[in-house]
Amino acid sequence: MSSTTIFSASRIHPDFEPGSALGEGSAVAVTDGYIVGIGPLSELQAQFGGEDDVAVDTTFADKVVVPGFVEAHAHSIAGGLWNFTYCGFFDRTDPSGRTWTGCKSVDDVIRRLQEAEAALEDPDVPLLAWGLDPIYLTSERVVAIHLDQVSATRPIFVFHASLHLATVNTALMNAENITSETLVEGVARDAAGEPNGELQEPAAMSLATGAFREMLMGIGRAEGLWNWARLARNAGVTTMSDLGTSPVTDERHIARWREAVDDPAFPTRVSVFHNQRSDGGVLDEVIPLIQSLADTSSPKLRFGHVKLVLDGSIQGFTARLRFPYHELPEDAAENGLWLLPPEQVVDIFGAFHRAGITVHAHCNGDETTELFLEAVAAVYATDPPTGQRHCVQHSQLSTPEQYATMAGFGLSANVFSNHTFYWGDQHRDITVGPERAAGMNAARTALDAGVQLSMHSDAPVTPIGPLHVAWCAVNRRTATDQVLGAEEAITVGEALAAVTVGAAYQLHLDDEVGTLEVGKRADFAVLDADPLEVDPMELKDVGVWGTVLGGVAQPAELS
Amino acid sequence: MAAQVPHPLGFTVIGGYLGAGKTTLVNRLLAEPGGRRLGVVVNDFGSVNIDAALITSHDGATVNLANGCVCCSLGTSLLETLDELRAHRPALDHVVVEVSGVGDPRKTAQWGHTPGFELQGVLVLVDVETLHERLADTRIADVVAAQIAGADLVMPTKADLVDAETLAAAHDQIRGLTTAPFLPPLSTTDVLLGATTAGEQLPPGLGGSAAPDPSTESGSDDGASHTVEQVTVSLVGSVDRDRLAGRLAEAPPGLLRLKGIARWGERRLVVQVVGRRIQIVADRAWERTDEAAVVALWVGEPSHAEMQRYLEGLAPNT
Repeated sequence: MSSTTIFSASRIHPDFEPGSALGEGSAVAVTDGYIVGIGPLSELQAQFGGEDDVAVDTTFADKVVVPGFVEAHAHSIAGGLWNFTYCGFFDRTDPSGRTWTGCKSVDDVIRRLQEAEAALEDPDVPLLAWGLDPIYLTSERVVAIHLDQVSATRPIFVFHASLHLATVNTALMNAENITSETLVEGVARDAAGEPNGELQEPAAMSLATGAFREMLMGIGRAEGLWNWARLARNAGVTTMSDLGTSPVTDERHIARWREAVDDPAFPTRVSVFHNQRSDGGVLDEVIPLIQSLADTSSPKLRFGHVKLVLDGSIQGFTARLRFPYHELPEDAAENGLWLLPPEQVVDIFGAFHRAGITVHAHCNGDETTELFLEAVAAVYATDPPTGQRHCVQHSQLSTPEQYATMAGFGLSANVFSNHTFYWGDQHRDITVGPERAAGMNAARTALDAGVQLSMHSDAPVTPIGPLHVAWCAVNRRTATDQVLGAEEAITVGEALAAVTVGAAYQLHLDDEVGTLEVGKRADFAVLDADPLEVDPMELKDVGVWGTVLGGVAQPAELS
Repeated sequence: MAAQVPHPLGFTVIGGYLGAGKTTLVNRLLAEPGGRRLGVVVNDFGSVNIDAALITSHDGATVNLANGCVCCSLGTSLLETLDELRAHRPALDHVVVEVSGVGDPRKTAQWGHTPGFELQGVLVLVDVETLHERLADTRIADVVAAQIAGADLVMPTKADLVDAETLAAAHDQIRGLTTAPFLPPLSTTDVLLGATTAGEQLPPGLGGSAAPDPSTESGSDDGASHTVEQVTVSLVGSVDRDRLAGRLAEAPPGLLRLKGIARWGERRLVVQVVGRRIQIVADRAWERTDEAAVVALWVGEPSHAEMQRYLEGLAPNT
């Protein structure tokens, strides 16, 4: 006989539709990980009280229960990075719940590294750190001479937030023979032609042989998956997605996922996407592989969807834009990068579409959205959709006209609302200018056009935190507290729907999670306050007690 | 077997937009590696056409061939794949990386400067039939132009599919983007990839066999544009590094490859030119047993005598 647990709460939002909230004295009844009842506690007790094994759990008696958050665009390496010292610009919370203060100056970076260095006992191991972003430290560039203040003998390797660059110290360059004779173009030089410690792109970073490889191995270790899920759980997320970080064509990666996620203690569900890179294998082989993997999905671990990365990033000046292009740093390409040949997109997309596989296409720039919409039009002309729910990912510069087209095709959009806060000032001042920056991540336009919407963190690019993502979409504030594109703001209810049922829809999990309804999985986010009642400017600060995953309480780690 | 000093592996990048013929060239290199043990990293495994009779083993990401070559598809990352090729035993001679149709070959070429490799050029294939159309397409014009501009050597392809006028126009468009010399169609593997190992293209006494390639040595003296010529010259005395770099930058048109050793005071310089690319590295102290010499491969106008004079001029005392 199955047991039933009735969770009482001070308030429950079964979803974020107006008027759906259940007030004081409401509860959710859970059996075998599924919701079997939702309503006033007294009614549920009357309904289930006759059964043998019924318990009322009052842990959440003063909490607000909402659907567990769903993150429809993140990367599992966000967990593994925490094996190393954080030295990014913004405050960031690690998997144990400790918040690391942002390094607001070059001196802060040096101090953070000095503390980490002092904690290393073995004098020979390299000091490895991550999160540095020169776009914020505008007074001077961090180079080797700064890191030399941390240690003249221990190799130091600092991975930038972009993961495209690193800065190393002189001890590392000496040990690895990185000199003025080194020919790799990504080795940045000072005025005298000597390497200054900045290594740009993987070939240059690989010159830091041991440190770079140790960092990559450390990021990829299985415990990183656990740390990633802890970060998610601490933010109220019950379903994560890994958007093509690990190749699903590699059995070792699949085994690693199964071992971690199917462990009952692993605190989230995960949807793992295949990334069909330009070198991602032959479609005739990949498609059956994905289909057979999908058949092996478990209640917590899902396979079957595909990501296509079509361009680069806006802040990295590698997104493909329609004219006018980026205001470019010296020696950058005129426009951004294609990561798949444009003329092949229609064939690649079409092959997955016809196989019934859902495609999430990474489109940061508006030229990229345009290309993808053309491919969709060409494919749908002969093969209309049959429920694939394809999605435009990031959709950062998509125009109102493009949203109208997306609506016509029934495409979803998963916009990168966190950008407004993290890079909004830079987009306005440096990358795309004030007019286009104001229209970036146009959630209002998307909803008004009738485009199905979610919003995401793209962790580790920004921290996992659906309440922060929602706060960005509602308030449109930059890091310097300026409003960017007020007309693209959406309501708190719309934003919270986007990071719950909206994301669940895009992962094809909306019949299981995303709202609290009888028959759905008992996945809750448990909050200290009602996000619909607080001042919208405080939405990001609503405390997260933790989650309930399949009826099992998962308290957040706080320190 | 005698212990061997590990040579760096030659490293060649093959780039070019979709349909330029990269896979055809890769297939040819695997079939005719010219005595080399090649490690070839391909962009799309399925399109490589390896004779089944040649395959000795196939483990998913890697195909081993009876002629000693290895062909791999890109695994998790180029870093991982190249680490495996560096560590491959028996050791390979040369690594060839085929870049994706939208990839920037010059970026990929930077791996050729990492330990264990010696970059021997970026070959960019250009489909002359579609070049005009692609350079007029704003969506890809910048990608195609950047690939050509990043080439050390350009190989125009599909010339047989166009008329003379189209071919000449395509050549002009390429010339507007780069000064890199054109590789003759059906160039030998030696011309395509350069030295088998770091030493082998050097003159006798500098570690290489330098056996003259009959197809290049028997070329006509009138500089017929498709004949590859070769000459070796000793350099007497010490060079000035900056002056040497300046002289190499003014090489006669048609110089495909130049490789050599020069003395710069008390240091040894290793000099390599691949088309437009000039690399000079002071790798160690000069030793008494070192000999300074250069060998050059070229096509086109310069006569042997002219090339010899040019090469002798690299060292002021020659």
